[in-house]
Amino acid sequence: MRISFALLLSSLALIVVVVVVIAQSTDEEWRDYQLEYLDQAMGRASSDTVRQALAASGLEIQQDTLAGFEDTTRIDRCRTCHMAIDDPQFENGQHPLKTHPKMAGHSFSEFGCTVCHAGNGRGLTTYDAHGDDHFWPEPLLAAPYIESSCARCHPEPYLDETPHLRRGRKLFEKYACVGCHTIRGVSRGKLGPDLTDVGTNFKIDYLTESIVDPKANAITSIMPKFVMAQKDVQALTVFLKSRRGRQMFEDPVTLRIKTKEWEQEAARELSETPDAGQMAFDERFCASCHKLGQEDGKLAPDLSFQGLLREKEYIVAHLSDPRRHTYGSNMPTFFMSESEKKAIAIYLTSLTAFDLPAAPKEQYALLCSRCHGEEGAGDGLIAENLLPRPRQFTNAKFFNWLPEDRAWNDIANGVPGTAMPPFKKILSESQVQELFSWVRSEFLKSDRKKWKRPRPKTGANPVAYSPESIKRGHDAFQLRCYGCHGRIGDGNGPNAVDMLPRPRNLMSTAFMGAVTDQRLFESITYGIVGTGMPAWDYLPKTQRWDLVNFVRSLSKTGPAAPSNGK
Amino acid sequence: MTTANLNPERATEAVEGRRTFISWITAGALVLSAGLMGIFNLIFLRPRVTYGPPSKFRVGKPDGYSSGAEVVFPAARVVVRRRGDEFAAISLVCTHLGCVVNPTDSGFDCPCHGSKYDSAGNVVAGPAPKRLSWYRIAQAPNGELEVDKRKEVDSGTYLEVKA
Ligand code: HEM
Ligand code: FES
Repeated sequence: MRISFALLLSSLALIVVVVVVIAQSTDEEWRDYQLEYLDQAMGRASSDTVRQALAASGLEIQQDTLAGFEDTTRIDRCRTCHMAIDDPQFENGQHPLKTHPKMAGHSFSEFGCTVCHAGNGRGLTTYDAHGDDHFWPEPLLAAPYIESSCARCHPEPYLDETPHLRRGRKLFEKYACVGCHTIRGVSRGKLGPDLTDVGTNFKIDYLTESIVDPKANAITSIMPKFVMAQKDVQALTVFLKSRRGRQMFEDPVTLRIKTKEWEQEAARELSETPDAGQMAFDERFCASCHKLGQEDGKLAPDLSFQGLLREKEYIVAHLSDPRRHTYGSNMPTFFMSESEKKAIAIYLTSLTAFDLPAAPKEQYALLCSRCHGEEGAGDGLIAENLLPRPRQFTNAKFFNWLPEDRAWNDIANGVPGTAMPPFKKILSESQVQELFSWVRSEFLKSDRKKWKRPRPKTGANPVAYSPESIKRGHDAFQLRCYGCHGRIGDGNGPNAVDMLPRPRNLMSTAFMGAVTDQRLFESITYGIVGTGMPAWDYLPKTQRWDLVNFVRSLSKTGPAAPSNGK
Repeated sequence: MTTANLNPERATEAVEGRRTFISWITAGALVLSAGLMGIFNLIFLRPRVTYGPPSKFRVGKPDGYSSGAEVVFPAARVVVRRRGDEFAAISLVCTHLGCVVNPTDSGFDCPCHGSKYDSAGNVVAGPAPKRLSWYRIAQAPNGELEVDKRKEVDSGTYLEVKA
């Protein structure tokens, strides 16, 4: 008895389940839109013939099969819901039953919808079709981002109807994005990632975020944070979204030929005069990052009186490889001919007009605060973009440890391997000392302590620079030092990101060439006060010298200890 | 169960009756759900759309055709004919082995095995077993004509479009 009851109940439950499943799978969103359309269209129809046709039509999936856009056939079913797109009676309709604006030369049966709007053409629910799912790579493009789709067929110069795209293209040069990024046919920068395909790979929000806050998705990004109006961000996003690799009318073979030609295009030659240099400076949009006179990109050093700071040879070498002198520079390498580099160097070294104010406070504001910050906290306008970072004068421990004459020397002669330039052509020896004592009194706010026990003087390196010594140094380094300085000694160890000042890049020839073995030994032995570098005085003395030898082997300076080192 | 104690015979009868009733309902429900599932699985087997060329397509506004015009749509293998204010769509696929027939002055000729059709698509010569199909033609809301190749109509069926 019980069993037959149970059987009865379950068979009734089964029928309920079957009916519910059938009802659910036949109750599709699009049927409602089609019923609504047929209903409204009946009322709005222009003639009886049309009314007859409407009366005879049933509910069905409307599909456009589009050939010739990619290697496969595209399927768009958007018109299943958007039935009124070509019905002129629905100008004032409500989405999805609304007439599409006139598009000369683009018939729906030939172009479909997703070629321009994106979305998932096969979807039959709003959620699927509009690509709202997080994992669908191409959600619908709203205005003005839809302009990016026009560029897939209409190459430069972009159509008048796509003002955001046109502006974005110009801004890509104006903000000097071209310097770092490659986009085939547009730019050849090598410092940042290739953006030829970004539009395919990333959605609008991600692109915008990457422009506004480059570190948002990659903490190690060296891309500067641009000071940009919202309008510009939007235009650039439209332009980036339009970068979707091969354009729809290009076949792979012509594309390869074009790419080859593009890669081989030669750099231009310029006459070596200040005027030509100034022209190149403008055309390369150097002031998008640097300051020169009134123009200020707020990202890179002031070049207004560069003639007083750097030599012509330095500038030419810097343009060839900005990381030769400053190992952490994020300035892009431009593809310039030798004559263009020379012209720019001649122009920059011709800038020697500078009125030095008398008061150290004003001197500091003009010369130092752009990097070291108004409050001396090492957080000047452009500090974010410098590596090594500018020193914090508020770090009393460090500056009370740093010998006074080393600080003076750093101001007068600059710090090789960093963006700190030599100021000796601007400041006399006494002015340097005056300025530094002002910095101390203004920012340090504590006095130098006397060493209780003076450090013993370091003698010459007793361990010969030999493969065996370097090997021993290497082993010790990989055990003790790599966490901060990195396995290869480039200062990018796993702990480096959390440290300020950052660990030194020991591979930098410019920096290592300027320090003696004695200074290296002392830095290892005593550590550097006020930084993350600890003291290693408990290691055997010979091991510390092995480490010095190993560190020397990392840069191109080799064993030669510089004679004028500090 | 009190009645069962008083009159065992009648109680047994009642239980019997209830048993058969329950069995019938149970069986009925099972058969019904199996039937429904079967029907819907069959419906499910038939594709709602396929990836071939669309069977319903637009062929332009009526004013695009001069009176007496016959316009061939090669991809769709259809000819659209205008006669006065009337329109018709006729298949160009030979009913013999499926070659595409050519319109001629007198009707349609098949190049493959020599079938000949008159202007209404009726067979006049050759191996073709059947007349050419006529398709339904209708006017879409935007004024364009629309041919639906899934819907065949009687030969000689014209759609009248008033200007
Ligand atoms: C991939 C094919 C499709 C494309 C390219 C497309 C495109 C669009 C566009 C451009 C809009 C206007 C959005 C706006 O003005 O904010 C829209 C709205 C709409 N679409 Fe689609 N659509 C597609 C498929 C579908 C399908 C299949 C459905 C129904 C199941 C649908 C339902 C709707 C609805 C309900 C709206 C109004 C929503 C709103 O205004 O927020 N769409 N669609
Ligand atoms: S296919 Fe036309 S006659 Fe055989």
